[in-house]
Amino acid sequence: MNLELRDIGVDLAGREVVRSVSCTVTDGGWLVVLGPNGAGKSTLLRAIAGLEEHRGQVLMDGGDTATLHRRDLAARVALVVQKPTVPDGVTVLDYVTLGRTPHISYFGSVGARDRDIVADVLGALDLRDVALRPLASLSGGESQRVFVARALAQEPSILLLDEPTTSLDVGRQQDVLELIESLRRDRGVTVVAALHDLSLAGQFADRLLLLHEGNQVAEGVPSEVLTEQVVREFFGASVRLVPVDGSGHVLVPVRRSGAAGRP
Amino acid sequence: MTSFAAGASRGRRVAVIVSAVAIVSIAALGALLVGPVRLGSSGVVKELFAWLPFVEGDGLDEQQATILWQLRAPRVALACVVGACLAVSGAAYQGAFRNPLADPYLLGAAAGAGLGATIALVSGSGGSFAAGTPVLPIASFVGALVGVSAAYAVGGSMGGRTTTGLVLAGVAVASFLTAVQTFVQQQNSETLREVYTWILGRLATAGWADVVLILPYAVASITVLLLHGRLLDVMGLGDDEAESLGLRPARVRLAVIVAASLATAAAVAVAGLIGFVGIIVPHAVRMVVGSSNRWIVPLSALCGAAFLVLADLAARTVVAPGELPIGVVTAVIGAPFFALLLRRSGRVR
Repeated sequence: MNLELRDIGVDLAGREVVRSVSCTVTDGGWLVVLGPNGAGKSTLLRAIAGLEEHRGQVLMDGGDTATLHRRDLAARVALVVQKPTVPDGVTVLDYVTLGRTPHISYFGSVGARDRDIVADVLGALDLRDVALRPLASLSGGESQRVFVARALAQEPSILLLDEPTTSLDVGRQQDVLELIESLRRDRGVTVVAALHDLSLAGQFADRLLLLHEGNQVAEGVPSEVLTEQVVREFFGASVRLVPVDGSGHVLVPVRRSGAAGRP
Repeated sequence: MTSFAAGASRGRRVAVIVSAVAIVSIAALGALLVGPVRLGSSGVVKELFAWLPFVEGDGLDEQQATILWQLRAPRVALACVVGACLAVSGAAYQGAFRNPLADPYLLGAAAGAGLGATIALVSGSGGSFAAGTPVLPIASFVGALVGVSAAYAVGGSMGGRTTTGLVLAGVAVASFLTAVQTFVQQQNSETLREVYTWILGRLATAGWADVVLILPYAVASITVLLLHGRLLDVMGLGDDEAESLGLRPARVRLAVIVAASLATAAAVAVAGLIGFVGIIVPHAVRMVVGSSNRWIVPLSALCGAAFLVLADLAARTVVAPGELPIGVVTAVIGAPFFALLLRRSGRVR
């Protein structure tokens, strides 16, 4: 599903946290929202998910999401928050089944079709063996897969991920991003993710949106947005861009004291 | 494919429900049999089944039948209803506030109901205390709603929609209402004993009138709470995530709190303040069936009923021919359990 943000602005406690953000993500595309801590990435995702009141419009295939009921919006847009709450003692199976909520009526109960979809998602994410284990007993990487599984059980057209790789080691970060890439490819889900790892962002996203203190400072394909100058200006970091076969560039941090002698 | 894992756990949970029904029946039968006048078990069973169509038989003589139907049966029935109300509302409060220590005494529901009932007792309608005064449950419910609304208002002004704010406000409101209740009680010394006996909890004077009085409230509120079991599971994710799944958390919480307060008020109105049922029963249930409120809520109703029937049995047998207030029995069992629970939850965090 095509996602368009038109002039999105959000105020929190009287402060303007996000200021006129506009961009478009094509159907099945992957937009990564970048920015230093406190840039407004999470707030922007929450606004898209309908959890924050905002100015401007969020359009899905041209339709304004403000006109949708809470539940209908949840059936189209799934959000994986940065630190999901894990209820005491909840099993993986029960947790992923909660993702079916938008598809079940208020007093309705979990039906056969819901169970089929949950079983399908658990299979696709290789979680069947742990289905009956308490979620709290899983490793960080496995837990992250379970959080994504719950979002997928919502059968969303748009998947919003807030820092899905924080607190994971390098290998698990790659696992999660590759998983999301495969979901995007196989299921045609449109992905919007907030990330802070610039290298990973540059390799996986097909578009980048850079926020700085709530302002949209750059938007476009990774090679346009991720330049040494942009990284220096907005992240206060000294980096070198190194080309990698087939997947764009990676950023390599460079010692600042040695920067004087650079060609 | 569909029920690869769900099958096993569902089967187990259904078995647990069936066992719980069996436990309630056995507890109730036991309570019907035990008492100062010995009633033969086969006679009681025959007498009970005589209610069914096409079953002939009267196992008891007229006097025994009167003891069974007019003294013991209403008391057992009332213990079932009150126990179910308290346990279900405890489970519901714990789910709605995502706080394992929440119970009907939180949020000022029980304290408000107590104050309402005390005012009803001292202001004259207390004269007809014994049975079937419709003023008492209404006064309790009004009191419970006043308590909860006050907690809501104070909690809201303290920090919006967070559950911690509400819980703290509930504690404050409950203390205040209890103080007012004590004051009202002290100012009316002529009814002091009556009020005091009622506070400690009583099922002793139960007649069918009491059962009939609270049954509609109990059935309505428990039904509403049973229907909210799945939604309480979603609420367990916190307001933000529940909202991102399409729920309106504030609305769900309000519905659950009103229903749970109604159940609490119904129980308090006829049985006084019986503590700890709302906290120990749901927790014991959770240890057996896990964390899903779809199972915790109905099982709490059944186990709450069984628990209070047994507690009442203990209350009238331990110091026979005298009787302990049932609130004392539940507190003696509940307080150590609560302490254990605190220790456990302290260790987890």
